[in-house]
Amino acid sequence: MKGLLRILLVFSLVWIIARSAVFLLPGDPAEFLVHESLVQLDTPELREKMDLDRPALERIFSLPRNRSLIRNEKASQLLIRAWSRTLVLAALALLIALPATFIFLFLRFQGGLRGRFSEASTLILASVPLLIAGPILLRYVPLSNPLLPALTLSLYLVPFWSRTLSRKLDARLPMSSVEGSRALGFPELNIFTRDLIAPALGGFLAFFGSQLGYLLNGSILVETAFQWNGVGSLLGEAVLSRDFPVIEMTLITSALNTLITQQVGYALQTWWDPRIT
Amino acid sequence: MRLRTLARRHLILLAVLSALARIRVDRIEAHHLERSLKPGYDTFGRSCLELTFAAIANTWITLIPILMITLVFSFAVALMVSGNHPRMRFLSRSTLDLFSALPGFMIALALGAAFPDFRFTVVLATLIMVLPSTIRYFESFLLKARSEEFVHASHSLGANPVHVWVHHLFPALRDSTLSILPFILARLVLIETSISFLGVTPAPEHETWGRLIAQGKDYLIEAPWILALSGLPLCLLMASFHLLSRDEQN
Repeated sequence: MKGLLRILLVFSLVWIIARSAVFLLPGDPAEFLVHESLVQLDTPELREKMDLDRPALERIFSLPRNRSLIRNEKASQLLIRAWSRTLVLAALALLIALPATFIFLFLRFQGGLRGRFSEASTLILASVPLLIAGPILLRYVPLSNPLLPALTLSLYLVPFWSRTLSRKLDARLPMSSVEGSRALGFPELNIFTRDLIAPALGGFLAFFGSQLGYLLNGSILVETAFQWNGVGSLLGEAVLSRDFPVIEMTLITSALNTLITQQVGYALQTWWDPRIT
Repeated sequence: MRLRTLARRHLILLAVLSALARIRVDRIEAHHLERSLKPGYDTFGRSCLELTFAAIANTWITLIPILMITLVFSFAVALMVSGNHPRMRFLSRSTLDLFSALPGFMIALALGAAFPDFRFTVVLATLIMVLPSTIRYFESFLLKARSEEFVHASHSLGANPVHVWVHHLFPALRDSTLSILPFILARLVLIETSISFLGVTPAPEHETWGRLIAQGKDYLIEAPWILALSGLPLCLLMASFHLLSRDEQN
């Protein structure tokens, strides 16, 4: 109940920010947009198309216009198309990143040379930022879209996830039944999955909820570098061309998406481990 | 241990080199220079290494005040949030959720697009992106520290809140802050570099790291040394921060 109340409150605040952002433009917003943006409309027409002829409060609490100012298309159609492309990228990145993280964590759990290899690899991967990895992969890796942006995104996610999760696993290790299971002769993979990952999965699920929100909102850096027309790229273009109906709708849906995925993460965490509240 | 020492020495060396380069490199307006491609030089004929080190110094000059604001503001808000007023806590957490829900790079782009000459776009956008997570960290730390047995014991023995703060909570908080400092710094550097990489900030007086990397990206085929010479120090800096962060946490 409290979670739902918080979603509603935050969503209302995001709505107010998104709908009132246009008033933050210097001077008369309509004049500013006509002179400074790519909008091919005259001032009265733009005022009408952006509801700027209405009182500010009425504008803030009304539904946004569903028409892009730059492209002759509905903003919702643009958004759905961008979401579907970002969804493909997110799904592929998850398909690469989840098993890779599991492998790195398992190697680290095994210790010795494998553990060192895992630590060194995650350190190297974590030290190469997306803005450097993206162009290099684009130039030197013979893969096409959407595999290449998904790989780049997962190169960012894998070290981040495995370093965060390995800290949690390290904290849990002394309390786990790993030593007992090893003494009983169970295979290492079974011990790792059953005695370490499964009990710690509750905390992981909440973490993945927030990560899923990040993935589904699209990464501006990756989508721009690989010219993948997803949500991040759409938002970046809309902001630079001051296409306010698209900015408003993208902002509202992105925020809603973040809030929902966060709550889904918390719900999954409680379902998996009811002790965590 | 050896890696940690190496990371520290690397950070010191980088600071010295960037300070020297910052003094040496004059204000050069790139668009006034002739374009050429020589190994080791950027497309405007300026030494890549010198420019990179000067850009690193500029990044630090921008980031140190942001770091101070982040730490002080996060601590103050966390203190308020972790207090015993449920309504205040609910409101503050909702505000934090709001900032986490807004895409940070979008805010940077929006600020850059709406106010092309606004010099504090990077500062504002960076703060919006870093503050929620730092506040949450401090909040959880304070909540946990206040429920520790030694804090309860100190209260039970009649110690006043100031004494508990000075002798118990503050030393713990100082150590904890030191352990996450490299992580916060790494995030700040990445955000600042990414924002200037996207090119939404007004053309700066001095070259920035992100702009150099963006130039390297654009000329990756013709002049790969630009990305190598500007990107490698960033990777090494990140590696040093990660090593220090890991060791501090261990």
